[in-house]
Amino acid sequence: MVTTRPSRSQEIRSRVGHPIIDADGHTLELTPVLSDYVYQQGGADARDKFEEMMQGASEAGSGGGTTNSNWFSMTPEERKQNWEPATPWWFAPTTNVLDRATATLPKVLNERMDELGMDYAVLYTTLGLGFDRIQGQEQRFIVCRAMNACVADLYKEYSHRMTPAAIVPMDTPEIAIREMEYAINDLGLKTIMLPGRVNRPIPKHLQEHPEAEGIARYIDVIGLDSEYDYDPFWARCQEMGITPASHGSDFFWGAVSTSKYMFNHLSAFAHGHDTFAKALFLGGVTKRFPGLNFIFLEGGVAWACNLFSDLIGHWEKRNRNEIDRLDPRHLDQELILDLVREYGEEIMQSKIDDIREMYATPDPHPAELDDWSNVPMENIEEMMDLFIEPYYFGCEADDPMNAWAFNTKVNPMGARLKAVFSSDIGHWDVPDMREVVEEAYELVEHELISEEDFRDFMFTNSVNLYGKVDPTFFDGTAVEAEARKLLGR
Amino acid sequence: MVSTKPSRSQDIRSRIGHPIIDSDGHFLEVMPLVVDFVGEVGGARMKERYKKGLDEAVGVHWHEMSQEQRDYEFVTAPGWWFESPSTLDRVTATIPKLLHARMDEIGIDYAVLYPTQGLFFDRIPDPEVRQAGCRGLNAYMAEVFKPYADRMTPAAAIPMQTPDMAIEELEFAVNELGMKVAMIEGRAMRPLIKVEKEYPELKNVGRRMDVLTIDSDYDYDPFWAKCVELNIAPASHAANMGWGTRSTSNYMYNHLNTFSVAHESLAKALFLGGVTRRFPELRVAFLEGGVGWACRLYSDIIGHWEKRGGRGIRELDPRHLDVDEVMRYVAEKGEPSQRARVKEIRALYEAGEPAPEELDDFSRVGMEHVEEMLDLFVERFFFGCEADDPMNAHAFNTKVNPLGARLRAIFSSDIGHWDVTDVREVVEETYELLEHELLTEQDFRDFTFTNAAHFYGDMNPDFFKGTVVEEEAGRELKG
Repeated sequence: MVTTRPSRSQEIRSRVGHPIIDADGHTLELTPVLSDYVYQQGGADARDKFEEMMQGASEAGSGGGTTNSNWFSMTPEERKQNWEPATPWWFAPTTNVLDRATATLPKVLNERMDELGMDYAVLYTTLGLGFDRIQGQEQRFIVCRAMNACVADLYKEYSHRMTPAAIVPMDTPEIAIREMEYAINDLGLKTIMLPGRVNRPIPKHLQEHPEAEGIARYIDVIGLDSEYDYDPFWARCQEMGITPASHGSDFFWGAVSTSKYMFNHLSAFAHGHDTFAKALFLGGVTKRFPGLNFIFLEGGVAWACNLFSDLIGHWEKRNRNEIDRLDPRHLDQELILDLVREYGEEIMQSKIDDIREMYATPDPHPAELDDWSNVPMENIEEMMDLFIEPYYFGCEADDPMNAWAFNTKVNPMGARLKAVFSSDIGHWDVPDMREVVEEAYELVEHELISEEDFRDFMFTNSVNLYGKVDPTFFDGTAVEAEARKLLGR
Repeated sequence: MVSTKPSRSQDIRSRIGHPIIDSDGHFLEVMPLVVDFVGEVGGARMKERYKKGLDEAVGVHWHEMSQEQRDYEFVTAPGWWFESPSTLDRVTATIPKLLHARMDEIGIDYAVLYPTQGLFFDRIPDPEVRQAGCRGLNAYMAEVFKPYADRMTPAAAIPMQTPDMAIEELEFAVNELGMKVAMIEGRAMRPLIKVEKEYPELKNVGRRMDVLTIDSDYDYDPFWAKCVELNIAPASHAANMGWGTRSTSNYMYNHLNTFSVAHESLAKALFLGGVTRRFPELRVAFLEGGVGWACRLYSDIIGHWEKRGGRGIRELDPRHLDVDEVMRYVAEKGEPSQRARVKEIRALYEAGEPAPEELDDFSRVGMEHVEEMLDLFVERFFFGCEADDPMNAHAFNTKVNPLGARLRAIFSSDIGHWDVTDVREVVEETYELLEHELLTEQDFRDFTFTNAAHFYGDMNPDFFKGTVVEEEAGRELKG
């Protein structure tokens, strides 16, 4: 059934002289199978609720927490009334049956890995991308556990070539730790996916209008201003050698369209990650946990190049040593008045007393003047340790913007951002799985990146991402020998 | 008082052989005067309502709260200490005559100036106050900048709550006040319809962002048509502070990428909503957000259109799935837990998948081939970029940008605000992009002159008439 003619991707793999690791392929889950696991985790009631959700969500089962089927049954007016974001739809391969089966059946993927030109893949759920939004905390945890148990069983036999990521709900640090420990220690999974935010009710409005709990909400970006201290969770990740991956998006809280999925999908991951990466950085998480790595998936790397550059620009002008320069109390009041007298328009001259008062009235400011207090830096070069070193970025094969990561001329301080190849197989972006590596290699052929960049993109960065936190991550896999060499083991 | 020693910026300007146009400098309002102008528009009571509304818009109440209270109510940390650090520069941004006197020293031939307090107008909750505030500010700007029209022009603030309101203010600013640049709010915040009906007291919390085209309560086409009729190229200076993710404690968190995220939503909406298709003459600028986001969006739109636009979406129709074939795989290669459910799995596949009535999310764009992106996106959109942002180089990277595009970055000094330590160094910083070989001489010319000449001049060939750049801009536009 699997083709025997070598694909171009396979040829490229054989030529490049290094393994290729896919940091973000997708599985397509089958709801009847998942349903059995929900039953095991939570009994008949939980299973019935899950099936009800899925039945409502998508009869084809390729949606669930990802697709909101209520949207389909609404009229355009009702969608606007409720401001219901246009949901993802038709996001799995259809005409390419083999690819559909490949993303669904681990054995087929395992058989085709060579043909796809990949040595090893980290796989993420499709249905589960939206499970953090399942109503009801208990049901949410049951379904997440069920998903984790399901993929652990399905992919166990193929651990030589692939590993599925566990979903970790982030409601509270205790819950996140508990679920991560269960996934890692009990189920034997070795990597996790977390939503880069938690959607919570605004306390004031929850208290005053408990019935409107679903309306007045905010996004807790976990690293900053959270009502919980997530440090114990990050500490636990470090202790267990786990690298958190965010597959979060701003699909439901950014600027949304009630009619067009494409409006909502464009840049959804980039925006979602931008908020999370900023929070982790400004919240001092990368400072306090120097051994921890993070990966932001499917959003490309251009947003990160922008953020890196912007953080530098902002820090240079508003860090704790510089902020005092902006204190309006330093203004030379006499000079102001002299200038108004000399240059001011007639109507300004007529208001000179008001102008004097305007400048003399102190501008309000917060008690804490240093917005970087959680991430105290003495010099800007520390950004290399605090941003470049721990952050990795999942980039799709055909995105020319991946080249920005390696553009040391443009990136401040000659930084090379850590882009990692992320195939997105299983989803609509990939019409033919055999062409993904080939497309990635076009970046070299079009001279957008060098062979060395390509190696980092397809292999080195992924090894460092997982291996620096857990040196044994690749043990027993097809890339063990090369990964060991790279990690100096 | 103005320095007579030539600055490095001045020296650069004298060497490069073309004018430098600043597409986004800021002036600092003399607020007591602006309040008087608002009073003239709406009377004494409006003055008080305006002052109160503006206080609310700039987040004065945040400063009066404890951090616990901010968290409890989820109140966004506003900007603070955001004006020029130097006394001379601050007054330069306040008094047009002083700015005029310093233009050579700054190395800038001509500047388009945007307000500072006026940037917050879209956050004044009461639309009536917002409209009066815009009109008062516009009248103030028109009066104080009028004598200096050879070197600078202010942008009129246009409220976008409804197309009628926007048209009314645009016509007033252009026809009555003689202004020639419009700053639009890049979106209209509205209460969720459900909230407005069921929880009116939460209308400022449960909000939605109307992006002025797609899914809007109003048809904004008459406004875009009016821009074309009046030869006005609208510019958005919107920020996303106040919606989406935000910090209750940290201004920097809220400021980082605030412009780019807001611009991206408007640019997506104008494109997907077909505005650039229906109004080929219209040019739109997105200010202070740089151009990196636009390169990414441009590339992403192409990737998305190729796979889901026009006929592409049909490839994903689940009805094409050969169920027998996929079930054969399940039977032969499925794991035991999968094979145990073949009946249910078949039923699942056979049930099909829901889809919206309109399958082509790009239907309003109506592209036949991807090269049309050069016309519908690259040609129409301009991007205000600060001097010291190395990401500006990406606009000109024809190797990376799909279809070899050069995005139209326009030099935007941001003078008047905290980002600019010394106004004399802005042009110098921009020139460093060339010195560091991130831009070529030609790129630099486009960045600091040609693109701005086209942004304003393509829609209004007389835009630069009577200005110091009239001759060169005229030559560029004719060429």
